[in-house]
Formats: sequence, C-alpha cells, structure tokens
Amino acid sequence: MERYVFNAHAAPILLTGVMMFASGVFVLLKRPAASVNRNFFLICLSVTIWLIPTGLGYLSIEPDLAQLWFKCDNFGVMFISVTVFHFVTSFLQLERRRAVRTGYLVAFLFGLVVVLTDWLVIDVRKFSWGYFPRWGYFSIVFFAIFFGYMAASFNSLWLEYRKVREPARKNQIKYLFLAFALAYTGSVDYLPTFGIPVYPFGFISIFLFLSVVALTIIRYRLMDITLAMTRGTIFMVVYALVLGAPLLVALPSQPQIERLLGTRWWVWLWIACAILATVAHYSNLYFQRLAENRLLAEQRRYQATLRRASEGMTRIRQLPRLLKLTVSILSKTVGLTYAAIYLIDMGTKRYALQASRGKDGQPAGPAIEADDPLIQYLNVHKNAVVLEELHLQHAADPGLREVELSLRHLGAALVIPSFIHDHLLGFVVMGAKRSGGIYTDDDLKVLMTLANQAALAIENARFYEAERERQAEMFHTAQLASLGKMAGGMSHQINNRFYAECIMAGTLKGIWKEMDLAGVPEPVKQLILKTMGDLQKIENDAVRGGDIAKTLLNFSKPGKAARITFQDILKLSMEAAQFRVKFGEIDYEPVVVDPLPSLDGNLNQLAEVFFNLMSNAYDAIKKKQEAIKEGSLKLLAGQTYKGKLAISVSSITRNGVTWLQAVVHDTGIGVEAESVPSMFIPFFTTKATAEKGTGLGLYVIKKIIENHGGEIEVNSTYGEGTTFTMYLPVAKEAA
Amino acid sequence: MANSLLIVDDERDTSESLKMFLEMKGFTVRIAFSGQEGVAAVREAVPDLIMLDLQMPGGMDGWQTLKQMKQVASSVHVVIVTGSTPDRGLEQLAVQEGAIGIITKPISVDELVPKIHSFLQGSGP
Repeated sequence: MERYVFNAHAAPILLTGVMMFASGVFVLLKRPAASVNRNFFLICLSVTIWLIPTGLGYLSIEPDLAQLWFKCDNFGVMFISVTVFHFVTSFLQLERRRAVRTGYLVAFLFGLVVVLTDWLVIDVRKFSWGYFPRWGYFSIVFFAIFFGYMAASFNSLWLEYRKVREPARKNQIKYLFLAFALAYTGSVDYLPTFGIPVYPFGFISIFLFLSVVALTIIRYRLMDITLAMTRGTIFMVVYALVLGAPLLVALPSQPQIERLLGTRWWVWLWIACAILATVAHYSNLYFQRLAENRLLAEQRRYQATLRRASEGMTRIRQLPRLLKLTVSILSKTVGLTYAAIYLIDMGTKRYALQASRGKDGQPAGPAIEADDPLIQYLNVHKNAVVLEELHLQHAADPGLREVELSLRHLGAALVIPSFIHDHLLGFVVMGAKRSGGIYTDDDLKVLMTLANQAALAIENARFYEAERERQAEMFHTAQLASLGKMAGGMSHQINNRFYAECIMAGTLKGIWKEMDLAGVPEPVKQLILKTMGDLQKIENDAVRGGDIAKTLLNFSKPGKAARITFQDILKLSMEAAQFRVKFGEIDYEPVVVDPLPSLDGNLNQLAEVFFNLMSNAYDAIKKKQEAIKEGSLKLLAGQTYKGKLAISVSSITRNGVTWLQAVVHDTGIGVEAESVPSMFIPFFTTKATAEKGTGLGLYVIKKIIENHGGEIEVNSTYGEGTTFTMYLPVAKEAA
Repeated sequence: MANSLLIVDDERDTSESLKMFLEMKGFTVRIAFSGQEGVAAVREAVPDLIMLDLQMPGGMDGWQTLKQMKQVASSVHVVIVTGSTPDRGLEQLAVQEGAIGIITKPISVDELVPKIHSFLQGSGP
C-alpha cells in the first residue's frame, strides 16, 4: 500500500535536514571537547528533527500520517530556541546553567505535549506545496517561551558587543548577531500554521545561517564572519538560481512536461539536475574566487609582502637589525597594534624581549621563563597560538587558561613560534590587527613560514655574530701573543735597561743616604733630598716596568700542558712569591686537601696565577694596614689587624663533573662594590700609579684559567677582603 | 771578614754603580766585564759569591763562563742574573750547570742585598 508520494517541495527541506545533521556532526568531531562545538551540534540536531519530519509530512498521502510527522517535527522545534541560547551562553562564556537546564526541561515537556496530544498540532491543512500543520491556541505558550529564549540570546550578544573592546571579538559578535537575526526569518514558517498561505521557506534562512556559522567555526576560527557570510550567501544564491529556480519553474508544469517528454520525464529531470548542479558548482567557485579576491585583497597584499620579506631575511647578518626589521615589517604590513620578538637566551634559558613596536599591550616583564605555560604549550603543539581559540577552548581544558593568561600578559592576540632543530628558538608576539580583522588560516600559514625563515635568519645572524666575536677574540689573542713574543725577544734588552736604572738610581740614592749632610747649606740639602726622592721613583718605575714586561711575557711563555698537581703549582708560586710577600708578617694558611686529583695544565702559567693572587692579597693587606694607621679605616675597640691570606684547594662535583676548586681569600682592603665587575678588564687597576701593578694581572689570570677550561669568580667587600674562587677541570683519566 | 763578591756583567756603568753600592753595604766587590775576565778573576781568587749575567757579548755567554768557572773552582757559588722571566726550565738548567740560584732583572738594590745575604748563608760551609 502506497503511503508516500513524490513531492518536489520536500526535496530541499530533506536535503537541508541531512546537510544540517552532517555539518553538526562534522563540527562536533572537529573538536568534541569544546562546548561551543557541542552546543552547535545541538542546534543542528534540533533543526534536523524539525526539517526531516517536515519533509516526510509533505510526502505523506494520508493526513493522519502527515500529522504524526508534523508532531515529530515540532518536537525538534521546541528545542531550537534553548539550543541557540545554550550556544550563545557558551560562546560568550556566560554562566546561565539554571536557565539552560530549565529551557531543556520545558522544551522536553512541550515536546511530549506536542507528540502525545493534539493540543498544539491540531490537524493538517492542504496547501499548494503539500500538507502543513495547523496550530492550536496552546501554541501561544510555546511562542512566549520561544521568543523569550531568542530574546535572551540576542540580548546577551548585544550586551557583550557593547562591553567588549577587542575589535576582532566585537566583529565576531556583531556578525553572529546578524546571522541569528537572519536565521530568525525562518519563523515565516509559523504563518501557514495559522492558515496564512505563505510558502514556508524557513529552511533557506536556516540553511544560510547554519552554513555561515559552520564555516566560521571550522575554517575561520569563528572570527572572520564577513568572509564566511559572503561565501555562504554566494553558495546559496548560486545554487538557488542555477538549480532551484528551474526546478521551481518546472514543478508546477509537471503535467505539461510529462506530456512533452513521455512517462520517463523524470530521467530527463535527473539529467537536467546533474547538468545544472555542475554548472552551479563551477559558477559557485568562480563567484567565490571573485568575492575572495575583493575581500581578501588587503590580506593577500601583506601576505605577499611578508613572503618577500622572509626571503630577504637570511641576507641580514646583524641580529639586532634583523629583529627590528622583522617587527617593523610585521606591524606595518599586517597593520598591528603591537608586535614583539622574544628569543631564547642561551645562558639563562629564558626568553627575553629583543625587539618590539607599538604602544598598546606592552608586556609587563622583560623575560619569560622556560617553564612558563605558554612555552610548554608551544613546545608541545609546535604551532601558532591564537588567543581567540584558546579562549573558546579553555572551558574544556583548564590548563589552557594559564596559557591564555600568559598571552594576555604579553599583550598577544597571536603567538608564532620559531623552531630550529625542534628547539624553540623564540616567538613572535602579535597584538590585535588595527583593522579589527582576525587571523585567518591563510595568515597563520604565511606567518609560520615567516617565522621559520626568521628562525633560520636569526640562527645565521647569531652564527655570524659568534663568528665575529670569535675572530675579534682571536685577533686580540694574536695581538697579545705577538706582543708577548716581541716582549720575549726584547726582554733582555728591556730588563737590562730597567736593571741598569734600578742599580744606578738605587746606588746613588744609597750613597746620598750614607752622606753626612751636616754643614751643607740648606738649599743644597733640600736639592739632595729631592734628588733622593726622585731616584726612589726612578727605581720603583724601573721595577714596575719589569713587571709589565714579565706579565706580557706570560703569553709567550713556553711550556705545554702536563699532568700536574696542585702541590706543584703552589710550591712554584710560593717560590716566586716569597721574595715579594713577607709571609712572616701575616697569617698564611695554605690548605690542600690530600689526595686531590691531578690536572692537565701549564705549570708555569698556573703558578703565575697563584703568584699574582698571593701578591695581590699581600698588597691588599698592606693597604688595609696603612688605612688603619691613617685612621681612614676604623677597627673595633680592642681589635688588632694582622691580615690573613688563606688558600684552600678541594675537589667538588658540579652537575656530575669533578672540578678542582681553589679559593684564595684575604682579609685585605677589598674593592669597592662598583669596581668588582670591572676587575677582570685589562688595564683596570685599583692600585695607585705609583704602586706596583700593571693592570694586566687579573685579566691575564682570567685568560690563563679559561685557557685551562676553568672559571674564575671574585667576591670582594671594601674593608673586609677579597675571595677568588677558581674551578679547574681535573685530568681526563683522573676524573 | 767581609764577604767577597764578583760581578760579571758587560754593562760597565751598572756594574760600577752596583760595586759602589755593595761596598757601601760592607761587601768586598770585584767586577769583570766579560766571561773571559770573569774566569780570570776566579783563577786569581775564588770569591764567596759570583753574580753572573747570562747575556754577554764577546763569544762567551753566561753558561760558557759558568762552565769554565766550575772547571777552575768546582765549589764556586754562582748566582745567575738574567733579564728573562725565570721559569722551571731555566731554574733546572741553572742548577744542572752548577749555579745555586737565579736573580731576575730588574731588581731594586734594597731587595738585592737581602737576596745576596740569603745566597751567602745558603752557600756557606
């Protein structure tokens, strides 16, 4: 027994229903965890339940069967407004749980009433397009609730639109509002239920609305609704004109066509449909491209600029210039409110701000720690992070809220990471676009390419910078070495000259000293005293000149690395120091913890290090003694000062590596806090010119220690003393 | 009795000044201006301490002079005076060749005297 008959009007409705369901499922599967996606699916589901049975009602032959289907269809209709409300609240992140729950409950109760009684769908009427339900007065209650939830949705959107400042978000809400308003024209379907014979084209509005929202959610990150709206509209108009219009014309003239084409007329119909669908498809593509070219002209232009810029990047070798240029190109071409680049600092492993542009959204801190949620997120996902997306997602994943906070902290609407060999080299922070537009998938693609190019360029620039520094260092070392060699060659000459000066000045001074000056006229006596003072100065200068020559010679000093012990080093340095340092006058505490691992090194150079440190310590102690004598440094009552020089050596383990740690500590005069950082700079000296000291001592010491693969640190407090701590690697086998 | 010193150095002015100063400090001082003169002086009378410059012109440097002096008087106490920076190699060589120590130039006369005394004590019988 036949229960259904073909009715062309049912086709678009059924088709829309199927597509609706499919797009709902698609959006849901895209990101099942996101509440926005879930709630969008619920809208689709309720609309599907409305459309499919409506179509089946059209097809029914018997009014009773049609009424049954319309009851089913209205079961879905009951839910539409609450699902829309639910979607809007989740999109705006409003807490409206009770309202949502009540809405679903009421919708369900109404659904039961609709299906189980005849109170709402009283019976069916026959219209030109087929059966349509007739609604009773009970439906007024439904309308109240339906409009209530719809009004609440619009109101929420409107309030949020007025509150929100970010241009992109504002845009979003505006278009979503318009999309819902458009969808609302679907209410035209209520007119026939009260007997007004208006064709129920509600499915078209709904289709338009849903395709817009679905497209935006999936492809445009729920942002650029302008583009999606345009696309959806073009699709609709093209298909409606090319495919729908001929069919609508053909359907009423079915008998004439049947007469013309015979009983197989529907075969021709299918062929015509196939041709028209193909035509519609290609025209759609054509118009889409046309619209995109117009809408995205600006975007395409800056994407091309960025591509060109990224190609040129690798040619720039100065890092600061490169970074500055990147930031300025980005903010100018994309039209950003703010742009900044953060790069990893190899030493601290933190991400430091390197360049920025734009006034708004200045970051609060200059550096991001490596364990920051954002850094962790970038390391895991290795992709661009869009603030907007995080915002929509973090209801599902609370961890994302932290990432979002980091982004907001940086003033970022978008963060583009740069990776080199899987290591996060740095990232670009981009604020909102000045246009209020959003970051599309295309944008992200171009920006990621740019970021990768930038990473390469930065790596390049860093390499060049390191290379330049290395060459400068090499040049410097070579300079010192050649200076040393020259000094080595001339040392005899230089030292012989200084020696001659020393001896002659010293002898003359000594002779004058022995001279009995009684009876010598006062002016002559004064002159002799002045001469003696000058002779002393000449002698001092000559000795100091010799010291400078010696220090420089350390660079050319022969001697290869050998297996040595700290006892060797200290013994040799003591031998040299004993003539300068009067160990008897101070407390001297050499402590060597036996047995120590030996080390590979140049004994003479290392002995020079300790000789210099001991000698410096002694000078510092003397200076403090003088300061106490002069009264510029006060001791506590009852205290005396002798001065202490302590040397201790031990082996320590840092990060699983064994080091020899040598500490040279003195209780001498110390160094003013502001001078401590400059202590290792060549020719920096705190000693007065008349005193001994070349200003090269600590610099040479540092170089020697570093040449041995070690490190040296200094700690000094004025009036308290100085501590040098050195770390030297132990011999390879000994480790 | 005053300690006798022999200074072997080609720098005449320096040597004469030094002689004057050391004599003032109570030493008996002779000077020689070349290796040959130095060896001859040792032959004449063996001093308590010889201060021998390493770098001298005239075909005979400090090392050769030292060798010949040792041949003349094997127990003679020689201190090497040098303008180069002392390192282990130089010290070892000096000891090997029979010297008892090294004095590096330049050195102030005030430092020199105690040094000479310490060498004299260390070398004493």
